[in-house]
Amino acid sequence: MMKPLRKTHLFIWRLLALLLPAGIIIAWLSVPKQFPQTLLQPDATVPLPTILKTVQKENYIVSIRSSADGTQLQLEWINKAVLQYPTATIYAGIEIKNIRLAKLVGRIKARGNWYFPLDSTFKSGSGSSDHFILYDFIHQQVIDTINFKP
Amino acid sequence: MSASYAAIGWNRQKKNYDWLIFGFCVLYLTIFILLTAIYNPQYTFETVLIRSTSTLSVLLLHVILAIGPLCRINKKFLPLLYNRRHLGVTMFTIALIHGSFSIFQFHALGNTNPFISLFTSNTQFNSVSQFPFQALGFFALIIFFLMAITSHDFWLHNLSPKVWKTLHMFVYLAYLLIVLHVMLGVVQYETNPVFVVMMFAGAVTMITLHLIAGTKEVKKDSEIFNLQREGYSYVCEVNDIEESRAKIFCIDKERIAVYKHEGKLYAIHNVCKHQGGPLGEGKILDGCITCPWHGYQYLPDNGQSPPPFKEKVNTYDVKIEGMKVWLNPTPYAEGTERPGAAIKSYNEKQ
Repeated sequence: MMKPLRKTHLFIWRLLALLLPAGIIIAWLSVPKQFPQTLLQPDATVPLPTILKTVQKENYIVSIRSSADGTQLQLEWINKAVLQYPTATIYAGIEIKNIRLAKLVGRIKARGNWYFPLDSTFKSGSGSSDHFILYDFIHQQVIDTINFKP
Repeated sequence: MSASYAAIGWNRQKKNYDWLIFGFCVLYLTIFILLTAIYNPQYTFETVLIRSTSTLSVLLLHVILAIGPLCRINKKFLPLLYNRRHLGVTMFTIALIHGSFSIFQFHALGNTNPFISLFTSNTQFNSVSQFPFQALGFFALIIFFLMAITSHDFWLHNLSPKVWKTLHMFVYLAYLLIVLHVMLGVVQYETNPVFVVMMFAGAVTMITLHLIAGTKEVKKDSEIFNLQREGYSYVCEVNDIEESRAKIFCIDKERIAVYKHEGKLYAIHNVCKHQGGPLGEGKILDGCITCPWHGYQYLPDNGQSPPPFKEKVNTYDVKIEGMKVWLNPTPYAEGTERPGAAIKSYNEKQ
């Protein structure tokens, strides 16, 4: 190795000695302070018998289902075509401004039918306007908003 | 060292080295996949493959970057340097698997071209936590690709050693991109601090090794030879040089290797024509100075590679007064024959 090349190597590593730790520390400090989010309940496998509301979209059908006695609610997601996103999350809420504060319902993949239990805090009545947001957490953007009109 | 180009110049050592690399990679991936299957069975195979190949390629990149300075610090690591290019190509292959599956998984299922999607799906360049980190990994992969396809000696000769070396020094930029790719990507979604700790430890190790090795080299370059006469500088005593080995001296910004061989001292330029290896750190095998990096050979009296090879390095005049070794740093043209300086005590013993 020639002397100028040795000097170039040393210069680069002196520079990296500043840039690498700075980059790591800045990235570490900027990790969002996320509220712990857990799914409302584990995914369900069997649809509940009664469909309360349904929204038809071009590529998927979304329904709110209930048990016969009305004590249990469930969100049904049926992909009619392959979703353009390999994985996406569904959040529930009425006015979702900050997605990190929204209530996580479940995660769907590009194909298949998905069922998610909705807990007792979720109210679905004939007079209510229920909103769900389909969110791409990889690209951090809202894909679609599902509104069940009263 | 080969007189013609072959896809890979296999020999027993290279085969053993490559089997070792292959075995390690298979073992690593198997353990990673098995542990994920046990502790996180909900993950799909694509996800496991993306994660396992990413961690393996980052690990291999650290090993590759550590080999150079380790060899400068301790010669025992030189065997690792011999096949570093094979390790580099392996690392690129694994990184390519990671990149390909990532692009397929996250960008290929939509109606946008996956490569356009890669750069347009997230444009939050003004945010640290939401920075489009995937693009950083993509650019690093491009650098690794260029390095991998030009790793063969054919490209070294045709691009010229200077261009080739400049291109391959982009590995440092690629390393910076990879560290940021991990820190702005994985770490932003993981609450477990182990990734940060490992990345930080890896970076600190690399920085420390390179700074120690670099400082050591600069110190060697800064040595001053005060005693000078008639163009010669006094450099050392005859007995300071081991038989069939050399001592390296930096005079007038050039490193010169002074070799002791069969009762004579010979001086040649320290830089191997192949990849700039330090000839003075090698030894004389079968009458030839042998580069410690890749085994390129030169005759000590004229700096020429033995036929049919055509590499040549500069030669220098060296003389002995009593037991003092004097070196003239004015180079002769590459391949010029010099008689060397006879060691009186050696010849008397004979």
